[in-house]
Amino acid sequence: MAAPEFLLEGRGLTVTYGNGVRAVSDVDLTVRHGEIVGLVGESGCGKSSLANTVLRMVKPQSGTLSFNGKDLLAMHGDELKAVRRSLQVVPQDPSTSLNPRLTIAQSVEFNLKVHGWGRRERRARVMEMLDRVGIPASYSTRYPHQLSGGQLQRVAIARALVTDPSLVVCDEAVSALDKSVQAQILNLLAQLQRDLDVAFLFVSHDLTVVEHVSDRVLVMYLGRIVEEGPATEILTAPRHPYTQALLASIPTRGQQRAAIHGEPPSPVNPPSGCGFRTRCPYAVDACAGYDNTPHAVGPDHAARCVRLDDLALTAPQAWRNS
Amino acid sequence: MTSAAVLTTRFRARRRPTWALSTQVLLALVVLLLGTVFLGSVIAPYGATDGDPANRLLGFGSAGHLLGTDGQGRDILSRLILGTRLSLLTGIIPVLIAGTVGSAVGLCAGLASRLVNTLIMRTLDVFYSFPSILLAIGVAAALGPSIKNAIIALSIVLIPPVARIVEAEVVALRSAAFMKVAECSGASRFLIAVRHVVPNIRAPLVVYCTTLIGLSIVDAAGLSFLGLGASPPTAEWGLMLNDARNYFFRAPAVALAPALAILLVALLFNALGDRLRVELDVRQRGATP
Ligand SMILES: Nc1ncnc2c1ncn2[C@@H]1O[C@H](COP(=O)(O)OP(=O)(O)OP(=O)(O)O)[C@@H](O)[C@H]1O
Ligand SMILES: [Mg+2]
Repeated sequence: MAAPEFLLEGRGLTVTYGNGVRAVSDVDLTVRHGEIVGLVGESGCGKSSLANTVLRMVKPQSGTLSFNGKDLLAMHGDELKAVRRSLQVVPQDPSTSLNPRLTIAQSVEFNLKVHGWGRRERRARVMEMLDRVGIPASYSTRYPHQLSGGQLQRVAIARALVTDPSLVVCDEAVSALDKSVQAQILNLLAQLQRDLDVAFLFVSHDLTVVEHVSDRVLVMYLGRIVEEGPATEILTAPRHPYTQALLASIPTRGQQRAAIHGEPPSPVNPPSGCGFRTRCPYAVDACAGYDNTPHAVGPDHAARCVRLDDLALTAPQAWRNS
Repeated sequence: MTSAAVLTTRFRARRRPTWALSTQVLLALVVLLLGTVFLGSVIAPYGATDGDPANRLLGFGSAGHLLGTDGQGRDILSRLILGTRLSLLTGIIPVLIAGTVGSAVGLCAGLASRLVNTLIMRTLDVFYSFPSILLAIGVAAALGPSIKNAIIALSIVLIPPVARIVEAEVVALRSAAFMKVAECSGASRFLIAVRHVVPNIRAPLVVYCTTLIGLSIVDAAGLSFLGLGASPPTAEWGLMLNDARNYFFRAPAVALAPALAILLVALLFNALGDRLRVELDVRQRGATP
């Protein structure tokens, strides 16, 4: 059997919570083997909901999701358990994502225990992974409170990679860390991706973090992917006004950062048409009637905006002066 | 890393450093109490029921009777020493039973679905809504007065509070990020309970149960005092207190010894529980040596 083109392929995913919040609306999400896909957007736009859907922690209301060509949403029992081995997570805050009562080696080891590894193999493998992420062997019997945030996140990465997964979901994996530590962890992730040929779905509210590691970037706003494309293109030639706004809000040397005006609308009662139109300086009447179909603007590059053709937005500076 | 090094690798933490002096003193006192339980008949100067009618109601410091004698001329110190066995037994055994059953119930309720949880917890609330001593009296009276029944009654009384404590801890843990990660890894509910939940509730459980021993001793003495536990002429602190009631106005000192014994032992276990709270917290330990 030929390997499917996509390791992870989600189509038309929609997540609605009991309180009426539509956190994810009609999202297509694909990850290829060994690819790092960045998912970026403001707080509350539905990134974690989408990540949790991929992890099978949240059931989407509609849509399809396949992993390695198999229907992930239909899986249960042993089949699901087997897939979970190839589908791991690195959560946001390492100080709470590691059990305070287990030594770090025990935390990493648990993941192997779940999948029935023998004691000897477990030990060798845990020490190998800790070494790979740069944690000295002598730290293995320490408790989480005896390590720094950066070290803990390395341990969390070791725990995710110890089962040799093909996809790791990092939900805000560096957001709780200092800038300098962030860079170290990002470099480590890039290194591991090269060495182990593992794919990452890298979720963050911070575009600078995402562009650092990603091959491809998805920009999310109010539950929808408003633009997706190769990381370099998203950075240099963004086509959606929201992506522009995100780029412009990155502080650069000697320049004022331009914040996006206003608050995002409530996801309980989103505006009709384009979700960003209430804050978009380029909004016109047609935006309210927009059906949110994506428009291809290049190979692998698409955006959801009615004014793609008449807006020539390329440089973030244009946004700054407006 | 060489394979030899891997084989000797420990994943468990090295044992904790020594406990604080105050904890050690409290533990020494508990050991002393246990020593009294086992060596009581050797230490006690008189037998539990050796009465000397000529020397009734002697005061503290009388010749040959350090703590005086009771209404039947029995040596109070000896009865106190020999009563330790029953009083500790009725303090510790119900806590052991309730600790085991209660934590199993609490663990199940905490990890169960919402409906099952509600069912279990509301049932426990019915029992919990009675003051512990009232419920113990009710159960013991229904079963008939005996030490065994007093222990059963106390065990039943202590299960709901233990279960509630454990359930609260488990529910708080359920939202912890590491539990979500464990679930994502594909671990069964049982493995998660054993590996992630139990280590986190062990310390609070031990602490709570230690303090319950004090309560159980007081309640057991209460049952005996009311004639629902040990029966005369057994040496038991609650019973001694009951006995002293008859002479309270003539010789209040007779009541003082068992009352103080109950109070001090209960306080001892409370203090020990408090110390264990600190000692069992991994976060309070120093860096690995
Ligand atoms: N379990 C839930 N039940 C109800 N509503 C939820 C739940 N989880 C998230 N939401 C809502 O769904 C929306 C999207 O939340 P989500 O956590 O996916 O956003 P996010 O992009 O990850 O945000 P952040 O950057 O703050 O983590 C929010 O409005 C949030 O309030
Ligand atoms: Mg989130």
